[in-house]
Amino acid sequence: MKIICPSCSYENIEGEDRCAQCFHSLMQRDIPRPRKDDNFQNVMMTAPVAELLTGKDLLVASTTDTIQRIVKIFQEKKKNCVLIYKKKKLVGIISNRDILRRVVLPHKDLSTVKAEEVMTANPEFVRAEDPIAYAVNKMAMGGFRHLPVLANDGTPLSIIMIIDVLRYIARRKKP
Amino acid sequence: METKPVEVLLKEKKIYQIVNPKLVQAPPEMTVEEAVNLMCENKAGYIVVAKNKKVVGVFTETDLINKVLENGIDWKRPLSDFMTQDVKTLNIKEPVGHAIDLMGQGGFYHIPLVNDEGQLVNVLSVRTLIRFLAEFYPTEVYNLPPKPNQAMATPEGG
Repeated sequence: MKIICPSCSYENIEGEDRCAQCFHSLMQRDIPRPRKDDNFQNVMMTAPVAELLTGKDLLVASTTDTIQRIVKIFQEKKKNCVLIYKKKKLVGIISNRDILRRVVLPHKDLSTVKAEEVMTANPEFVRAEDPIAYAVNKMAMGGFRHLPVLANDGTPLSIIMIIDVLRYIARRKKP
Repeated sequence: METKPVEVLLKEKKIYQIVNPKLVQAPPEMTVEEAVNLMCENKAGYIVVAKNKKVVGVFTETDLINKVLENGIDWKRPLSDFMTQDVKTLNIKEPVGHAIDLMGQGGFYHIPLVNDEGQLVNVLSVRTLIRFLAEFYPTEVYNLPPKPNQAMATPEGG
């Protein structure tokens, strides 16, 4: 019988107090629970990311699409983030910030730069059933304003924006 | 961990207690070209456009990409031609809860902050706000994988 570390997934020998690899405590019995008297914590730790999905914010480009085309589509659809897929696998994400830093500042020609040169590779993502708190934590730790939401087979469901999270909180925090 | 419920804290905590001292601002005459450099130097995606300490607009990376790129625009033109005008500001002494409401409703990433005299003193970014909110969960949440009983193939999860 092995105990799998909740932090790094290392398989520890049963009875260990802490993970031999990352020193994460192995003595917690349950996942943390929100305070009973705290409506905000309750909502954030129990409501799933699925509550934020609109199904409307999902743009996908391929690694070889040019930044010029992506910018045109951003302008037309009033979007600011696109997932980059290659052979049905998520390989990157491009937001306005990536375009500013990696294309506009070095004065590159938009019509020749490809998505794969600009994208942030291997982005963090969440699943629809994850609690909203988990998405908030990823956004806060990584400084991301967009997070892809993926199905278990890796296909995209949506992109959630930090603003969607705030809007949800604004709606739910009223007692 | 704070001991009060979050709803109470959102009313009690004031904006000035959570903001960073960093503010990227420029006059409306600054050119788009200079603005791009200023944003990148400061690792920011916004510039609060102000004149005599009064907020006149906000210029963001979204304005740049939606209005300037691929539209054949002369980059020597001033920011005031492309900035978002009539921006909402908040007094720095207002509760954090108000900022969440305003950002959520308006979809803004940045809210310029003013003092009692209406002068620009700081800015509240959506990232600052999210970091503030993230402090309210039990810290163990940080270390949990998406599914607590799911094991990754490698320690890195790759």
